[in-house]
Amino acid sequence: MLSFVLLLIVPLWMLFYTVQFGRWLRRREGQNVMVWPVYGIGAVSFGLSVYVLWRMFLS
Amino acid sequence: MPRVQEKAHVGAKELTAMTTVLVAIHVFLDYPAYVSKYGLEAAWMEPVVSGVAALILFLCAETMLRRYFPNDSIVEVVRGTLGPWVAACIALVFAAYLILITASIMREFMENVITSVLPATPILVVGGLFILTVGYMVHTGLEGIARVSTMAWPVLVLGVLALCLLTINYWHPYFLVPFWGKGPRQVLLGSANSAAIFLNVLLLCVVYPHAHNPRDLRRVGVISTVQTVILLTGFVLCYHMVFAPEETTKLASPMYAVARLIHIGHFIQRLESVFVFMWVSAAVVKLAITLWSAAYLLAAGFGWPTYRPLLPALCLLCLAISLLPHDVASAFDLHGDVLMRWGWVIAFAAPLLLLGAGILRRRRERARRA
Repeated sequence: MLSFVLLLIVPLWMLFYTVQFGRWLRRREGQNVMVWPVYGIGAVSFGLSVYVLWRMFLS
Repeated sequence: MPRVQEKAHVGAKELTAMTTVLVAIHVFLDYPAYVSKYGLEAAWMEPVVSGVAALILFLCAETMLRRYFPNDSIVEVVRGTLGPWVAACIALVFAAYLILITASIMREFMENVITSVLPATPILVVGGLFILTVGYMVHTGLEGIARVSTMAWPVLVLGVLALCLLTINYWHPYFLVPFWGKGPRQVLLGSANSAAIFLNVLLLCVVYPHAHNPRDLRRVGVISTVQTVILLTGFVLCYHMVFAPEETTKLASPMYAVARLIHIGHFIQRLESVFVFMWVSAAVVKLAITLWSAAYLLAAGFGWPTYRPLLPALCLLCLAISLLPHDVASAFDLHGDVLMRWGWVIAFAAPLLLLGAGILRRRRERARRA
């Protein structure tokens, strides 16, 4: 459980960083640019990482 | 739509090294065992047949890009001819394929490292260190990857050559007969199913605007493909002279199996741990090229000015996908039965079809204007 919680920091940091990138893109490029794939990739990556960690340490 | 701010310009020498490492690295994976399943004694012909086919397709793609779309990557070609939404979808498909390739190859190398040198280390630690190194290389950009490729290329060539020559006392040339193995039809089928390792057509369509002199690309393609074919054929020949035909199809890590046999004398023996580090270094370069291509295609397809902030998400995605298969067997099955067998659709058919569609559209527009 402790390993799972500690390793969860990495996907959480990645999600935060990716969301910040999306917001920066929106600010910089406005409506010119597609931002939803940034959030999509971040969400898929976060979901899969958490699933793999859960399977390794909790299932 | 803004272009990706990648101002890298790579010379012909670096591009040759990059393309050679990208394809020849498969000699360390299950490629020799995969082609042996189809051709048995004639498995060495399969890299030659698929290499010739890949070279012809490479020359076609290069001619189309040079004549009609100079200074454009595949995504920019599609955007200019079929619109931004189609370009985004195409970029997503190519990137997904490259991410799957990265994850699958990373898992194979992780398993190789664990079974050979680090049996007590958790796979997550090996994978984590792998992806950190790959992520850092991709962060340095195309120029960084190209320079590291130039350094890794002689190591790779010398490593394969040494491995082949150091097992000379185990060679049984009569293992190579009958000449046609399972028959010419099986050889052709094996060549078609394993041709997807020649990712140079797709890579050409991605790096075209970054070549220092795009006119050199034809020479780059020819030299790198010939080098790759020689390396792959040489190792498969050596592998088949060392092991009996039926045995060659069953070994999960042919390179490691060959390296373990080395016994020239009391001093030159058990060299597999030396080779493992060589393979891992070459693998990092291959993974960096595929991950960079995926990140660059996504940025170009969706019009982002940079791809670097997305790297943590892509690295974690690759690591998570690589750990999804439950065991080694399912990881190898995913690579062989799905990515290798159907990879030609993305590696050859899609880029050529898209370039062809772009040329037709451009000609039609010119005719309408005239």
